[in-house]
Amino acid sequence: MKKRYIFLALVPIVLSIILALLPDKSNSIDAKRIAKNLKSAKYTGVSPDKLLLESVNDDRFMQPDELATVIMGQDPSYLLIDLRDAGQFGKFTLPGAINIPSDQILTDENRATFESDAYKYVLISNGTVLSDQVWMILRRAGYDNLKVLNGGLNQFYQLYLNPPKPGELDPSEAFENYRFRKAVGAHLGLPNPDEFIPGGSAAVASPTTTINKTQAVTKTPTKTVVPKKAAGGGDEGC
Amino acid sequence: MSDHNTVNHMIELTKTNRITIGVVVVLAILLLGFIFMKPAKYAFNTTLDKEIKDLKVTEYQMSPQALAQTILKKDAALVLVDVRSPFEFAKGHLPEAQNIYKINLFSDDQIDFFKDLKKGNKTAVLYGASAGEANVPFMILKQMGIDNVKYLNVGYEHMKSGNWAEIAANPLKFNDETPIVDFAQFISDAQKQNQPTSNTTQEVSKPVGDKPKTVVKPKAPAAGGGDEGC
Repeated sequence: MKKRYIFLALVPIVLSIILALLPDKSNSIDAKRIAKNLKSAKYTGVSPDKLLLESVNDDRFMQPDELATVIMGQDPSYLLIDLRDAGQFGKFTLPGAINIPSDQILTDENRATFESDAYKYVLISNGTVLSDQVWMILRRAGYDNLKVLNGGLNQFYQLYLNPPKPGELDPSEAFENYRFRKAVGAHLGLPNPDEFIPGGSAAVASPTTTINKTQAVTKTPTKTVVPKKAAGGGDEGC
Repeated sequence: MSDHNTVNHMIELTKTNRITIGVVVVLAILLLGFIFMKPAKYAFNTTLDKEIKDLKVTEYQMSPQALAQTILKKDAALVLVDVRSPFEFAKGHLPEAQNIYKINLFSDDQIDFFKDLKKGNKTAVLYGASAGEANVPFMILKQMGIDNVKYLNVGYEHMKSGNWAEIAANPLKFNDETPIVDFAQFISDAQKQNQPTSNTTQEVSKPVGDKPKTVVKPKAPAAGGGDEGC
């Protein structure tokens, strides 16, 4: 009889000891918040196989044109994060970007930056690989709403510095893209790739007028606007 | 009296019996749960701190030159792993490369393959259609503690020619992170150029305006056809 009571008493004691000794490998949000030192944590967020699944598709990538739309529209729901060092950041960056060098992404204050649900974070570096690596580390640490600029600043600036010209037979979207990219280039302060190309002067007006609204007029928009007037004059000339 | 005692005794016995049975059943359920619990088969084994430091370590990148040299030397300590799809692999791949499609990294014994390489002191060099494609499985393996992996910092297209001597002698340094042009310089130059001309925009714009006129004409009637009702 007594043995039975002892057994009954021992079961919960043993179970509670086992429970106390279980390793902390939780991936819940609470564990993330409680973890005092995230940097030394081995595992808090996404598991390796889940991370692989997330990274084999291209959902995390933001294409330069998407980012350009965000910059032009000054969309407040995006926070651009420049991962390069302060020196490179000081020389040039994207309008509105903040600087978090890649080796400081998990310092206390920078972690607080990533914790807000209000933003989508766009990771930016010169290329794609570094931002992608940072993306993987942040995902592993449990942060979300992260995007990676595909092609990095290298491709971004090149695309708007010298946008690929559409051919005669390309669909009208290609021409619209081209005009949009030229407008972005002007917005970023890049020289106009083709000041003397007389293509689509009337339609150029729409992106250029948006520039005039969004930012101080640079030389290039004023120039491109003029053909519109000229074209109008041409109409009346008949 | 003794009769009463045994009855009490019996009641207590049946009570504890029930409790014991209950506890045993609970234990059995727990045991079954443990047995059928899907263990987290794969976990990250490095600290985030180390990973952040590793971001700047260039040894994990393999340049096309270094790879071409190892192919020429037939270095057995390096094992090439193609992470593209079997379809693309079949169309063409680097010599003696092994195909492990990135999506199948966790299926069957792929992880064991990398662990065995580590035991044999060999290094796996991952490559894909681009450096970014190889980077994904590389980062996952490295963070799981399998650190005998590198990734090729160019895509397969770059190595396709198979002209190893030429690739090995290429003086260009490839690194995704290197800025290709000094854009800062570029922008400031452009602004300098703009400043003097900005005063004369009107003068400059006149000839610019003239040029489109000639070409635009065919379009203009289409757009302003209604206006031109004259």
